[in-house]
Amino acid sequence: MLKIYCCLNASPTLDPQDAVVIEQALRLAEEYGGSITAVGIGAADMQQSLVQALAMGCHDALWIDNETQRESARWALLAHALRQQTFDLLLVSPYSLSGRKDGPGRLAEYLHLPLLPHVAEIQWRPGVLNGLCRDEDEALRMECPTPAIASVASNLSPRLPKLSAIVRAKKMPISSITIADKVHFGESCLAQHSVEATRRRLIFDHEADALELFMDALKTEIGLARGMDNQ
Amino acid sequence: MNVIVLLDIRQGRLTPLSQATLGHAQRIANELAASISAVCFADAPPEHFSVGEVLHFQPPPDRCAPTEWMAGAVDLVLQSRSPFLLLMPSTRAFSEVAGRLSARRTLSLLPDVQSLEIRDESLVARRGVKDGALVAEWAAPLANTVATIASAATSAPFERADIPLVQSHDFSLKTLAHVLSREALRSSGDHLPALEDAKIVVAGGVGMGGPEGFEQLRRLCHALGAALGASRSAVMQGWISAEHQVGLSGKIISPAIYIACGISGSVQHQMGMSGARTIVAINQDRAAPIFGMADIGLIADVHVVLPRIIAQL
Repeated sequence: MLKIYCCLNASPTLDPQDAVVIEQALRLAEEYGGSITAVGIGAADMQQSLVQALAMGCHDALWIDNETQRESARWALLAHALRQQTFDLLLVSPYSLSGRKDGPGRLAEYLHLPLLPHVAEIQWRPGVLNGLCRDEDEALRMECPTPAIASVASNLSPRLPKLSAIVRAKKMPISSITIADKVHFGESCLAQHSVEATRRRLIFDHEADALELFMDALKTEIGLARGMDNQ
Repeated sequence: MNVIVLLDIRQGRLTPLSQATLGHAQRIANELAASISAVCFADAPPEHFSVGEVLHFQPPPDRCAPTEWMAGAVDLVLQSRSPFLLLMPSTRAFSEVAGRLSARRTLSLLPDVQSLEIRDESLVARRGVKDGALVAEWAAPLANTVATIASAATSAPFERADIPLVQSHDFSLKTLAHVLSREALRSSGDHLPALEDAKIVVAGGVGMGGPEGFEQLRRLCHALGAALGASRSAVMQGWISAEHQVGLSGKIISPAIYIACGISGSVQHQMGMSGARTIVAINQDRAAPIFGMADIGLIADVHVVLPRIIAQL
């Protein structure tokens, strides 16, 4: 019987990539038997994601109450909470909401657990996890003892919960742990700017010579890109 | 201060993203009057580097989990080099290495950096966030910080110099996970650049209509020397293999030009390519979200205009 924990990103709505993680967990539990706990660290609205995870079929949910906006610290605090839990398999998305890719490696270090990164397929037998891990230019069949972490990069389509499951999930209890910030990393956000303001938005449509105008603009960009090669 | 740059060497050559990373390292080291050390994992160290020294490790042994092994080796280097600034390409493997080292040594981490500068005695980095709609500026201390470089498009000049001092290191580690077998993913028949290294990327979505649409995109790639990308939907349809997938569940790339053909531009896809310097979109649906982030757009049927575009290049 597999005991699986699924770590969710800190979001008030279930991140699509986290839905893939949960789908992977559900398929493993269906194949090998076991339980799935959805776990998330964040502010109170994080619980809405956990309810959606329960509606998909997770058996339990654990909310780690901490409002830090710093991703590096969030992983450290999540690991701190997970040290008090027991599981065979910890599934995470390879990417955070902002697209950062350092989370699974951090968790592996904090928890001193083996990591199978970017797994497209997972198999389990008691005490051993086996996965097909996709690097940029090769696929590695990897194996490790459990408990272990796997970052899920499969193309599974998450199931849509039934209305009855959604209603039931809203009534299910969510366990909670409160953790105070204890970790400080040196990076800090100075400012955020809109990208739209920096994009030129040359959209060609109605002009009779739209393709020619488009080609002129495209050729200019290609020339600039190739010029970078010659620097 | 020692600026340490971790380099990705494939088939004996520095990848373009590694060249960009080395360019950033050169510029930062010049401003700080610091020395540069390059760490590489290769059968033999490359002959010419514009760095003071090369710390050479053999590639991870076949059975070792590569990222766990490389993190251990770099950690060994860092032990004797504080204060340091560590730069590396933002590949999947090195991003995991960066996360591991940041956790192990409580290092500040600036991930997926598009540009990097020194300002007010801090290291300031720009990176895309939130569906690519925003660019954020992050600051970190100059010392004991790790940054991963995501954009080959913002490379500083990379000049070859004298042969540096090469130190070969023996390193061994029994990793917690191990490799049973390996299989190359890249199709050998394409002869197209790798997605993460390419200055120009041409990508297709469901609007390409099928595998034959991607053959047309391959012709455009060959005309431009571009890499071929795809949306998750096109991969799910089985029109193209998963190693071409761009987006949160695929690859996150920052080329100089990203040409999206028949891609509507879901949030997950946008997060994979929003770091591109110039985004070009071709789609017949004028309401497609991709036009909201495009620099240059053409509202047209890709099947009609692509042959004409290829003919004009």
